[in-house]
Amino acid sequence: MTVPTLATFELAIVSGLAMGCIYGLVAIAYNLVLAASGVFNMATGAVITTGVVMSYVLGQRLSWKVYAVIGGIIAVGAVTGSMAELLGVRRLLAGARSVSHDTMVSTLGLGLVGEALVALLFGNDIYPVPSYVSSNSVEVGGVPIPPLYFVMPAVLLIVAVGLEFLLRRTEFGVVTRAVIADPEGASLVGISVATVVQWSFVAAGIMAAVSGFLAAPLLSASAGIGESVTVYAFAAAAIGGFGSFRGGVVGGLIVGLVGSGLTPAFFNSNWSLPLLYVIVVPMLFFRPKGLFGRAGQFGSEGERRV
Amino acid sequence: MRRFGSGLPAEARFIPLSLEVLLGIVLLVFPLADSSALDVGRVELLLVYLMSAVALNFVLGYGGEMSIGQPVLLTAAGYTTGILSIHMGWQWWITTPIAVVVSVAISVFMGLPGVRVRGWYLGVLGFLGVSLIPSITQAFESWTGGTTGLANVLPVEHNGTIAPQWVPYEILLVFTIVVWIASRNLIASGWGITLLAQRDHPHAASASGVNSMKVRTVTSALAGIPCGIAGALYATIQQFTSPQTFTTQTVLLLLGAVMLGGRGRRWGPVLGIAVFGGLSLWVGPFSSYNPLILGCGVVIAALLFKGGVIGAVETLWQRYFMPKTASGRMMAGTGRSSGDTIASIETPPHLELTGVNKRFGGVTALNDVGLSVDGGTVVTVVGANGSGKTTLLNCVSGFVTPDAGQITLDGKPVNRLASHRRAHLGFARSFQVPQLVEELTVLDNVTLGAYGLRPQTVLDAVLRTPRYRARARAATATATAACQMVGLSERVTRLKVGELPLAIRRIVEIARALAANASIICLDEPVAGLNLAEQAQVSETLRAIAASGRAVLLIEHNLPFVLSTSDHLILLRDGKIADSGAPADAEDTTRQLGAYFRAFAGAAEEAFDKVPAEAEGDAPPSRPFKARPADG
Repeated sequence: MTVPTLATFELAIVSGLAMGCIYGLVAIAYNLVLAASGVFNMATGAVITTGVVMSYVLGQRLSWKVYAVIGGIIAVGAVTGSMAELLGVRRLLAGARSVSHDTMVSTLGLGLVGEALVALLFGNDIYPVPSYVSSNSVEVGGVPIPPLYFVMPAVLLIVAVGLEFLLRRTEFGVVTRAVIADPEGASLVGISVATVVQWSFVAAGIMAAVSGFLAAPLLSASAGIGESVTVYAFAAAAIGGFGSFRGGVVGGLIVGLVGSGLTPAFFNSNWSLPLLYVIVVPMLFFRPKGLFGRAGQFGSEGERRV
Repeated sequence: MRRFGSGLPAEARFIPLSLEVLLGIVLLVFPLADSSALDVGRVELLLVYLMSAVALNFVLGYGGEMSIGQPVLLTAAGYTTGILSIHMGWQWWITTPIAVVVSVAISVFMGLPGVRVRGWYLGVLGFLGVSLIPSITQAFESWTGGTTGLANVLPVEHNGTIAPQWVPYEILLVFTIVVWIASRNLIASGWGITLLAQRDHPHAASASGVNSMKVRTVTSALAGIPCGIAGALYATIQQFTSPQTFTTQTVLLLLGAVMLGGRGRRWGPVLGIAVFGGLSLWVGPFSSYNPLILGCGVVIAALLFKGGVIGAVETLWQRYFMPKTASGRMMAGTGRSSGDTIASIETPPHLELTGVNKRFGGVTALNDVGLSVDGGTVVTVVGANGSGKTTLLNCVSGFVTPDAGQITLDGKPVNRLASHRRAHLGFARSFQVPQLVEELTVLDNVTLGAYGLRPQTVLDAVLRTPRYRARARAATATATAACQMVGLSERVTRLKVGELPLAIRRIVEIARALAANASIICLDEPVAGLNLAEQAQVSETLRAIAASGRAVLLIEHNLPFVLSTSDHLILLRDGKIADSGAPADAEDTTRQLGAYFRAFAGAAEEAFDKVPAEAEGDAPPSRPFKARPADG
């Protein structure tokens, strides 16, 4: 154990919170799909991998401008997200009463296919991705902070506020909230639950791909990189409460702070995941709804049936 | 004589025992015929996968829990063996049992949240656990050898020299066969029925006396055993163990295999592992096409085959080779004859509720409810929708804890007891929508009542001891008797519940309560959706149950049925007892009918509003509250 200096401590907190924003973004992606459809989308990791790899391919190999890369990433996320819905989920949601196990397995399989395709096309090498903003650190209170770390919270804030606005202030939001609250009732009053589910997958796909793009300079592009993010995002979603957006943000920040900030800085990065696991298991045992989840929702007490 | 235990594997009819024996013999002699080290090693890996898939099928297929931590268990067992053999110099026959203990302990820990959460929650946690393997092995690098793993694990030795390759292979095979037979015996025992009931209808299981927490923990523990054996032996065979041996891809392989082969089917894992394991060995385990093929296979398995290949074959088999059941003549097989008496109980119970209160948020569901039910009587609670009837029943059977008030049985308070504990005191109940395992026969469903109270021990079931046989016989006899008491013919008891109409399902639930030898039977709308003949039959059955000294607490809307069946009526309105009395009392009846009509007036108006205008003149005579006043 290294003796912490104030500077390393502060840097650990800042970098932890920055990665926490990525985990929060992915946790929101999970929760959005979960809230709308009751599906835990295990293919998300492959979408993140695609986002990371595409930001390398588009930005470095094809030398696109940053804005074009972002546009490309959004398109890739939307396409992969809707493909997950189309191939893995639609058929199952239309049929069975309880789809929890089947959709988990089908999206898991799709994720594996996606990762395998990336590995086949991209190879198994690791390529560093340069920062999409200036890499000259900014001094804040004597601590040099890479500007990258400011972008991540900004994007998380925009997504969280945007989602909140969309859900609270628009007609589409009202419809979506109706589906989230009571899918059966919503479909009885004529709302197309399937459409809302499709849009949730598209939006979640975009979020996952964008989080891959954002984290690419920290992670480096390689096949299978998405899994390392999803594992932390699971923990974030579990701690924050499955199905809750606010929970996703808070859970993400906690996980980032503990798992990616403090533990690696002062202890050993190998302890990050075991530590989170030891937090999450008793948490689910004693408080299944997490910090912000609602009791009885999304399997926390009763299994959700769609 | 009837086969012991349940009729679970319908597949047994088209997969004969000879095939099982043949497969075993082929595997036994195979390394003698083909001694190529590579092939033996491949089959060994397949056997390890098979054992793990059997464990996964046990928890997922029969237990319904998404416990996918098998790679963690395999790795933990492998490292236990490796560390003990390298540091202590212990042989495989010492390290393997210790590895099994470690594996069981981890399995129970990983299954712990399953007591509270279900579905994909556990799956996510299992996945999280599997992703921990590399971190943990690196965190304990001095013990585990970090990413490179542990080499020089002691091999199987014979007289101080390394045994030939077929020796560890045969050891692994023998253990695989033992696991296979043990899991078959367990599933065919009362445990199989209990697991399926808990998987499909946890409330019905606990109302029948099944302690779900205990069953889940035992299930997790048992599922740890095959993985412990397999992981330990594989480390011994390879003389090596590493964090890359079993990974998240192993999860996919096992899940895919169980889903494709058929979860909850005995042969599912064998078929699935043969397909996926074979494919993986064919393209090479490290080929990048391996995950691609595996992933596609998993998606196809999840999307196309609900019961897997075995399930699909089963359906075809039943369609073409099984005698058709004439559902039109179904009721012909039911109906009590005068000879069927219900065994009476020694001491009639006395159930008493005093001042029971229950609030849900701002809604007062029950407000100062007090009533008593004596053995030998049928007490019926009537009231409009939302008047608190079902909450009352839930309080009595232990699914809802009252905020205030006392519930006592023979003077002893039962308020704080969980529903499965109450089942042991003599409580039983039915559900508004019958909660029966559809893929089991009527008799097996009824047997749950007997097994819920007197579960078999796992060891007895696995070893098929005389005690197991005696208990299985007793349970079957109890269930058969219970079926006879309610008038289910022997032919009907052999049918699967999924093929039965609603009326018979309701009667099966009553039989299940009788098989548990319940003294207080609570029924939630037992004649909803039944025709007049069926109603009369249920009414007669309930009278016979009361005559046997048991207490019946009934919730029902159907007035003619209620009046002909009950000894005492209680009218619930907005969670309060508005009126009560005996229907036999003529004066009372008139008064009560008035009360019912006032209570139902709102609902009735609503109902008539929905009748099209032209039909209003001649409302159907079966409408009870229309027909009745004309009589009185």
